[in-house]
Amino acid sequence: MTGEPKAGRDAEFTEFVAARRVQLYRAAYLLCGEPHRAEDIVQQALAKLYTSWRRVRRADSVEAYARRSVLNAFLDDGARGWRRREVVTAHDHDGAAAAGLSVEDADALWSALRELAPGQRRVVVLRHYWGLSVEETAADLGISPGTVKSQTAAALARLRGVLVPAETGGERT
Amino acid sequence: MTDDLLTARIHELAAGIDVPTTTPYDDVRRGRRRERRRRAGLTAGAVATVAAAGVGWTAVAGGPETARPASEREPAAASSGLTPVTPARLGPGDLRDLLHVLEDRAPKPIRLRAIGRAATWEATGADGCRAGWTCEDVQVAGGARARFATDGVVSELVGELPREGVVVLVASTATTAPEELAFDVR
Repeated sequence: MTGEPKAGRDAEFTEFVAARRVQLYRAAYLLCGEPHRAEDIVQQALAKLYTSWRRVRRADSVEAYARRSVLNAFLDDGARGWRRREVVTAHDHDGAAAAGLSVEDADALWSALRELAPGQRRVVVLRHYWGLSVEETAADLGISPGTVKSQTAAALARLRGVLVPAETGGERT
Repeated sequence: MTDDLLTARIHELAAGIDVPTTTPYDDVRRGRRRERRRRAGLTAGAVATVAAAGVGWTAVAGGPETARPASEREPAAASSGLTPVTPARLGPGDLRDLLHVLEDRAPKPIRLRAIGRAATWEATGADGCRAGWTCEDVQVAGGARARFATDGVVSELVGELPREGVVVLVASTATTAPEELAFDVR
């Protein structure tokens, strides 16, 4: 059906996975807050990407497709109504300290993220982790740009308490 | 300021997430397994289900005319296949309006458009949503109901129009026929 050798697809896919898997996993983790569920989401998204590789690559949309696959896998997982409860232990986030956040600050931010409405959390991850514009976020989530803006504003209002600049740390209430 | 700070904090938080050790080959293996399962499923069921609903792809070259006036078309039950179409061939009216709704929402650039018909709304499977797709109800002028779905490459819009019946429109950023659609055609 197609002249492209399977080995070529495998090589390209492997290169993409090597370059992007960490980012996809971390995005999934930010969305769901659970390591095992994040891994399931990424595995599911990458398997789908593999089977669609040729047409996605022809359309020059590998990055967007992978991102949306992660998002869709996360939403599907939630829609099935299982494993919804986010279980977080301090041990899960020990690595945060090495990345510039204290364990306390990381825990506070995780707690704040968990308390966001699901839509607000998705918008935060797409806009502030993936760096998407309002319009790109709206397209990925299938909502209007106005909704993205209002959800971003609501999320920021709720997160403001844990977004204290480092130099003024300690003033947080 | 708060916006930038949140971006910085989220990136710091993400950088601290421990990532499980896997090799890309593990993902290749899982992808191959999914492909085998999907091919087996397509072989076993796709032809039958598509035929039952009257929604399927026909060859691009020499496909039947897709935009005849309603008065000249076959009854919905003897629906045509899903065939490539252009806005110009649809002409003005509800169908072109429906295509515009699809094009407004579909990822760009759109390189392929197709149209099909189904005997009933239920036959399109539009009340469900295939895993990996984002599906939502949409408002269509003059339409009793419509539902949109996309997986980031392929987009599908099913609309029930008073004069046209149940119509399935597909747009894709790829130039080849989609391997699967959002709704579980039955």
